[in-house]
Amino acid sequence: MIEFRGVEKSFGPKVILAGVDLTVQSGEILFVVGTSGVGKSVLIKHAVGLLDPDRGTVHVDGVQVTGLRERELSEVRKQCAMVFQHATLFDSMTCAENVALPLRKHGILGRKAALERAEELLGAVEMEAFAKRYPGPLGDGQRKRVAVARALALSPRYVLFDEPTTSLDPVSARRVDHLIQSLARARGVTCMVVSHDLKSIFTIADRIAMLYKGQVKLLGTPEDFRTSRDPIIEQFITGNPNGPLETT
Amino acid sequence: MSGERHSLGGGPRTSKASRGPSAEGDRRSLRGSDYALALSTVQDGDVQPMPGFVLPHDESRASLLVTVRATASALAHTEPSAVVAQAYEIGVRSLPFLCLVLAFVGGIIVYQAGIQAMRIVPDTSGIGPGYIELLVRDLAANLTGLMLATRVGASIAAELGSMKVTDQLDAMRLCQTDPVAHLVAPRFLACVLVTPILTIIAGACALASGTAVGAIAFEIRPQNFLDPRFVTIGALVSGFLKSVAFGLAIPLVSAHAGLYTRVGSQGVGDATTSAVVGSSVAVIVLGFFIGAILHIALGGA
Repeated sequence: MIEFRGVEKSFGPKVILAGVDLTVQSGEILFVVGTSGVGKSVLIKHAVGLLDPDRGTVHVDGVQVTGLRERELSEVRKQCAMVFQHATLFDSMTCAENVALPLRKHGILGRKAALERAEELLGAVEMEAFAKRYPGPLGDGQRKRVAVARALALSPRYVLFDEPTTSLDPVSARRVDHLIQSLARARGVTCMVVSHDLKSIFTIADRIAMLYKGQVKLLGTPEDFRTSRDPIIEQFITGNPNGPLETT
Repeated sequence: MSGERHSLGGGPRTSKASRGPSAEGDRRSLRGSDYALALSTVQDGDVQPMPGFVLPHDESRASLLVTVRATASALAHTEPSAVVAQAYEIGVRSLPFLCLVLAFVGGIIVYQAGIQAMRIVPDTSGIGPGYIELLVRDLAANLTGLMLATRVGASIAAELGSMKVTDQLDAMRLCQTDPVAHLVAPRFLACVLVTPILTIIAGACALASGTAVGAIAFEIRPQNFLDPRFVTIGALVSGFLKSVAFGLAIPLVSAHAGLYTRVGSQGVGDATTSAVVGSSVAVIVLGFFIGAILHIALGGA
């Protein structure tokens, strides 16, 4: 379970999060939605200690992440992986070396065993043929799948996805959706997904949290969102440019 | 993707109960065959502990001193092969540019000095010794520093800045890889090592071009031009210390600009500009103060 309790975060004078309370239940797929710049990515970065809140706390499985030093965060990061909006693969390493990196650096496996395990993981995302290739020339969808394989390298209990289908073609996007769904359903991995992709949201989400003006505006099932009469929620879903929804 | 392709459960899964602080604890939590395999293949060199001091993510808490401290803390975790690769990138690949610039600047200086000398005291015998002293004390180090500030400073800031805005630095942290140890420290060490060497080589090019211009334009014989009688120990120390100081300053200033790049391509552009301007100013200011302090300390020698 990931718990955000009263999380506040500002960058300079700009308030991004103004007291977010949100609990991600084990095994669920929770989508965090909201307009661009509302702080969705900032929120999930708090769960792995990439950002510290100005006020409030974040707990992962009861362990307070807030305030941990980088060295101490290692244990949290073994359990809680993240797939970034950009695939964030290291171009100087092959796909297999990218996937093997967390296994080596966390001291789980040596180089040879880590590379063998990386090839298995690449197979699981249908990228085994690219194991010895460098990621630079790969397409966005392929890079994203390699990034997912890397996130799975440590067999995390939680995977945070930051806009996983952005910039992907519809087929690649649905493949990523399928992958997220199979992680949660087949392995019980808790998935927290930041996305604008309504098709993904209404296809695979168990619950949706909408961030608005630094707080959770609505937390509920996809059905709760569809049937909401809140004009802000309605405008977000319909994409109507005219309405009360303020964008940054 | 077929169902069996999603059988992702065969990996080295750590159990909740095993999340102790030691790597040994993690290895015990691996499944049977994986555990045996892991024990047989783990190499100590693969495990890279995070350094004790890590850069703050928050820009408001960032200062150049913080970057200096993080780099110093990361030096022990730097891989020698990365330093060698950066020494090639910074050193060897900068050489043609540096040699070209210093050769032409050296030629221009000797030509102008010759014209002025002929106008005031029709005697060019002091041009060579004076030029060599200028080269050793100031010109070679300062010009090399300024050129490295543009080429290397821009490269470091743009590379780190691009990685920052595409979350690659955060991804490295999640892979238990310290971005400062992996990216900044090798560039820092390489720059410190190669800048004095580059200064000597580029200075030699400036000397060669100056000698040639002296011979062609003013008929100064090379054996008369290449007279080091004005070069003192103080001049040698001054030139060397400047080159080392520039090698220290350029990667730190540039890496700081790159690590704290603001979002977007505009941010990368701003960081690159900031790195070049900051490094260039550092070269000029450090050059002045090192020269002044040595002048006072050595009594003008």
